[in-house]
Amino acid sequence: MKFTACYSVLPVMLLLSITDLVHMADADEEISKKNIFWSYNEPLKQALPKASLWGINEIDSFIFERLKVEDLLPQGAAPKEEWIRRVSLDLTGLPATTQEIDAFKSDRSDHAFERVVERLLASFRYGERMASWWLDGARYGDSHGYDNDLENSQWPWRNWVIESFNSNKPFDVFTIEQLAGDLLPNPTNDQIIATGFNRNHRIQTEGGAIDEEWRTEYVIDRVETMGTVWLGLTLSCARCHDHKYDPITQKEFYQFFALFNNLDEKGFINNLRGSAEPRIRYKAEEFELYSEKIRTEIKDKGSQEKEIAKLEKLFPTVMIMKEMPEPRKAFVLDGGQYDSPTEEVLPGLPKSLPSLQEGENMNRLGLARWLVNGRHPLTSRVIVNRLWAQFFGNGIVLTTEDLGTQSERPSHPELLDWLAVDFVEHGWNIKRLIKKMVLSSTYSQSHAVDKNRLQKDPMNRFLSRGPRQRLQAEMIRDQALAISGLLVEKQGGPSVWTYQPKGLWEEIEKRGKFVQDHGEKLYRRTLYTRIRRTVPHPSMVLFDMPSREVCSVLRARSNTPLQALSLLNNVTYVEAAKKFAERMILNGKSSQEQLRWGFRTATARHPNESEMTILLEGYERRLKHYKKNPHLAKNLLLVGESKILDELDVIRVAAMATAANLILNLDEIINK
Amino acid sequence: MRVLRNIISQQDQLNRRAFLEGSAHGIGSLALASLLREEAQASSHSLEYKHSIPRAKRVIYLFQSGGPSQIDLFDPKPHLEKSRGEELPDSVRGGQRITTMTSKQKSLPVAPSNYSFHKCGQSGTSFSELLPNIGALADDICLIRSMHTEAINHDPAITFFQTGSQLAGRPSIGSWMSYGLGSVNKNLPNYLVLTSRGSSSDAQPLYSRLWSSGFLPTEHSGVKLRNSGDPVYYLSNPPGINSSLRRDILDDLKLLNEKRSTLIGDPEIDSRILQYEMAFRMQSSVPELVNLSDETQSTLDLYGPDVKRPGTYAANCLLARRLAERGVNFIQLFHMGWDHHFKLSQDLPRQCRDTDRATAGLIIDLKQRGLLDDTLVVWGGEFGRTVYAQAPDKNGGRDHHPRCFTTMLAGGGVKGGHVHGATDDYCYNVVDDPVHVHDLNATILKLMGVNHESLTFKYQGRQYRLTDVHGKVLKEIIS
Repeated sequence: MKFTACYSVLPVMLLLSITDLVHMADADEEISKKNIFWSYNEPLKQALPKASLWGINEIDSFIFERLKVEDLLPQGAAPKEEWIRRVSLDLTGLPATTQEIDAFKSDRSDHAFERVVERLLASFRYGERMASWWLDGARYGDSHGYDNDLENSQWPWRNWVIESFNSNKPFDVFTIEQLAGDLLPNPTNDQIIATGFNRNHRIQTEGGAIDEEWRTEYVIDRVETMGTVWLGLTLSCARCHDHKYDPITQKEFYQFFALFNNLDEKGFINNLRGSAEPRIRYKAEEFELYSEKIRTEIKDKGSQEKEIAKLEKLFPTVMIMKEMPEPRKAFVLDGGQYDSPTEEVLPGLPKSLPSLQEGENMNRLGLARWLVNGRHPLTSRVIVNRLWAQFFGNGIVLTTEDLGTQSERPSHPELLDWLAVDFVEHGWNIKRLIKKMVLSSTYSQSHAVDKNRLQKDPMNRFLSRGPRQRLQAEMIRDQALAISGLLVEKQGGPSVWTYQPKGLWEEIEKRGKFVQDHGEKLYRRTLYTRIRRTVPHPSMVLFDMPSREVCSVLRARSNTPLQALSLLNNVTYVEAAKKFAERMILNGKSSQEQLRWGFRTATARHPNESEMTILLEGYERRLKHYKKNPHLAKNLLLVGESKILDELDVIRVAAMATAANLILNLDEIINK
Repeated sequence: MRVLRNIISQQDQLNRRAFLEGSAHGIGSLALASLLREEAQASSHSLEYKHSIPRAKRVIYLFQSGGPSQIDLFDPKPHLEKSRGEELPDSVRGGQRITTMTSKQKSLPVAPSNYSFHKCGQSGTSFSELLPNIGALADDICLIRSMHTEAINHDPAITFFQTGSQLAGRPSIGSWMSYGLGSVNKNLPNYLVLTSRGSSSDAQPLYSRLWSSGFLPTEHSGVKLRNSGDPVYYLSNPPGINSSLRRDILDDLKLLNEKRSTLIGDPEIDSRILQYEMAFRMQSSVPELVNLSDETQSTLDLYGPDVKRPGTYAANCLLARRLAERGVNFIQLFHMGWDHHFKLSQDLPRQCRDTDRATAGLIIDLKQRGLLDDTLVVWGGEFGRTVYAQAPDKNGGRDHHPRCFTTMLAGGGVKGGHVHGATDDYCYNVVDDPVHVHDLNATILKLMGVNHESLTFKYQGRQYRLTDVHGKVLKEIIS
């Protein structure tokens, strides 16, 4: 095994351990040390900047204060259409409908904005959108991730995440259940399924692998994932040696290791399909009820087995955490090698962080409670920062995966701390925090930018304008499905196989024949598309979705010609254009009305006159083209498995589909 | 051009202007004129980085991923035979950190190469018997035997070569080139990537971030060509939309996006307009590029029989020449499979068989077409391999070795038949003319006419460059 996470030879200064640095520190260095280690100090809610002249909530005061320093002014408020499109995509991952836009525009009350936000937060789509976010860090995938890479059945854990966000489970409870649900008194089936978080890692299925070597890898993966997701620290360096930058020693790494080391699991399982032990049946009671029914109602043994097999797909087993009665011994592993144990270690916490509260046991439950005890300097900052990045484009600390000493300094340290403390003070209430963010004047600014702002604030770190970001991979597809009317909304359940380029699997491996799903399954939200980790879907990769092989909490937002090709030619988007065209035709009498309706449905705003002219003239040109070449029109409408209404004129639908294809490719649509 | 102008953000323009001012002297007026002519056809904003007359117009970088064994291929140590099996002296190792793969090993026995070396060409440079075809080109080749790096594991080491930093996130060398020089060919991306895997039994994976643009505008990211199906995902128009109809739709799309750009002012919109235009051009340029039917049999023979199998190193070498002809200025091949911890005696010859003829074929082909003079060919991996054996008792190999290794250069203004630098008797430490990764990158940039200290980008309040705050141009190897 080779370790790739360590950057081992560094300039001499950096080779010094943190303690060396501390010893070296004189008065000046004391101050800079404090700066470097800012995130290890407890966040404090400082007084708000004095009477701010701008904005409606605390966020705005901090933002305005910094803008003044940078000699910038806030941008004006966004048009209502811009705001509702942004907030709908941000909170649900789907665009607002024209009805929703109209209702918002005609709502002149003081609470119009709040009403929209409350409606969105109450929608089950909110949980789906938030789950997409959480799943990156949890490295959730639908396959085991090595060698033949067969499917797992962890999706009930994903259901748990969606439901938890929708019920607004406080983040401390959300944390405790995922890290230690099994250790709670009389845990429910759901609380145990929550612990699937720590079993989402890849599992080695290749013959010849050494069991203990891989089991060690999983434990290490759990430590590193917990480190990134909750502590915002890259712990992996400390696997092999004391961390060069952050105050985490190798021994402390293995103290964490000891916490995740006590389950009766195998490191290597040949050709594993489904769940590895330990595991639990999803909705065990229902499963028993139905299988009992099958056993009594169906006499034929063969048919009985068939029915049970079907049932097992709906109620599979899920990999979970379960402590062994006798904890497994843990050691510092020399060089991070499974077969080089040295000093024995007991579970424990790094010295540089607060200690366990009195009365807590040093087990996973103790660890989980420690992370969310409210005094922990990292957890609340890390989560607030990552949520902020979802809505404002950049984290207050840009490196959302790392708030340690190597992180980029926060653009607004006081705001980060204020939000972190406020979040904890209000019971780790995620919806409340999000509401505060999206109802701020900062968020509601227009995203238009001018030369001055571009020069002084090129990345919009100071929020001198509203956020404008490219949509995330899932949102781009979901939006196209929603606009075209193809979207099938059904919450939760097993993952589905949608369209993928021919030959995708053969390019990289020998085994496995791709069998695509059909019908409704093709049009479910992208969150439910199967993730085979060694062969991620190219159109998702193109839009920067991680492969989910390991924990990752920071997505790139690239802008490439390959994205253009995907949005122009990928069957998903061509089919969406076709169905969108059908909707447009059904929603307007004249072609002009149809195009206007389509443009508004996609962008949330009405086209202006010159835009309308371009759309209409283009449509008519292409209509002429298809009149001359009717077979081309027919061919276009054969793309994708959905059909269009028989009574519609093929040529008109095809010409309208080219307009729809154009609209779905507007920069305005790809961004929010 | 309006669009092109727009995409250069304010900060960017400032940067470029500073270069222009800093670089005014030193460029002869004649050269300047010729540069201008050349650039007029290319990008409108690229001249500012050119600080000297470029010796190379393009780079073909044949990255050998995994760490080829310099001691078996390029750096003969005939006197080492007498020490075979002896413990590597501590004085040589000098406390050097070694990877976890051999750190547990009880002994570090010296393992001289089992392959013979031959003096080749008029220059008499020694090459391993495993590389007969490359050896035959000795007089065209410059070997740097004194390369060294800071990283010891693959991911950080290869990231270091590509970006000048072991930590992921900085722009890759090809992206820097694209940003600094633009491209002569407006129908293909500036930076093309091809990958292949040798018949070695195991291979370290690659990561697409190795050719990413980091914090540079994303159009400078490398574009990887696929080996089967559409060479680029979703390249073909759907049925019912032919090329002229696609153009018609794209014209309208462009008009609408430009209107939005004027109103909103976000440079990303202009960038997206450019990406769509590039996408359209790629729809014709890429199929033409990968269609090898116009290659003569004698050309194909240069690269060896694998050239007909898409996705092989040989096929990729030929594609690299075709890309070079089309003016793509940074072409990078990644060939996997050089990580020979074990079974070196089986896998190294295989790996050489896969690459020797095609590499030589590429150089000959470029030469025959008069392209070698202004094409810099680089061949090398992220580090070397140890003189001591790993797992010596069970068909072992060699561990990672960052302290010395060999990189090979040809064409593009480097001295042929030249050897730069030397290692000690154990091929363990550099003794003459050490060349750091930053020095190599600075030299590659220099050969392309770019001052590595001036090609910078301001990001998060700091001016970044490929060579960080280091890098020394190797004047000794420039012809």
